[in-house]
Amino acid sequence: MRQAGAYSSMLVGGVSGRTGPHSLPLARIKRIMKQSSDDVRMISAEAPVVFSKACELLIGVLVRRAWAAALRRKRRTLLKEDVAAAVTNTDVFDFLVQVVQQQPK
Amino acid sequence: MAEGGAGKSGEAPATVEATMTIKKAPRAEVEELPKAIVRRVVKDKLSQLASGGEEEDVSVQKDALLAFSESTRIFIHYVSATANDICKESKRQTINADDVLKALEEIDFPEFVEPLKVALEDFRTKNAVKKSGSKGRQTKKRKVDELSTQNGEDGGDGSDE
Repeated sequence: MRQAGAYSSMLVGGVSGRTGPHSLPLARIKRIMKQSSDDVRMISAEAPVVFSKACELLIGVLVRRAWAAALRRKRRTLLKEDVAAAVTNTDVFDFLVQVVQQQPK
Repeated sequence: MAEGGAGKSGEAPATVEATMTIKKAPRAEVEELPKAIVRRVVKDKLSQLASGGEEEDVSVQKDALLAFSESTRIFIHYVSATANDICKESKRQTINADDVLKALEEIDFPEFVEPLKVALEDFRTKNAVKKSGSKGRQTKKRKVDELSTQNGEDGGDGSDE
């Protein structure tokens, strides 16, 4: 098949250790992707790039809602319970319910 | 005589438990996202939100940062698993960018798709520039690289890890 070009390490962000415009490290993202299920197939070089940006967008939405929760409580510090409130109040965050429910109240 | 001694024998439950524990053992390492980068993304977003000047010093508790980090990790799992299914349905071997975008629509994040397409185009453009810039006009290499670009496949280490 085709050889690994000179670019493959660049594409997975492994060369300089810097994450550049992608922010989240592509190699790490790729490893996390592989842990998502037992039969994950091969991953194109572009998929982690898309994820890197998607994660930023997700954090953006989470932060916005958590911050709104903190504001309602007149706080300037974001607490875990604000993140929990954001998750609870947003339907599309149902898959995150387990993340924020780790401590019994 | 110990016949199906579920109740009395002290050892049986422990053995079962031990077996179950071993079977349920998590994979060797749970990969996490680097804390410093998650923190920076969170802080950047907060400074955008609080740019009114009143709340410039919004701080983030450590547990909250962990929650953001963990949420992002689970998000990657969720989207990846969905993209994997989409890829399987198309009878392809490699999850590509398009699978990921379709997965995001499926799990109700359609608003992410447009900005992601922009980021993807940006990445593709930069990559193309790099290729034509550094390699000059070696035809052989260019053909291989063009093939890689077209299929978007990670020919290098896709099958190793």
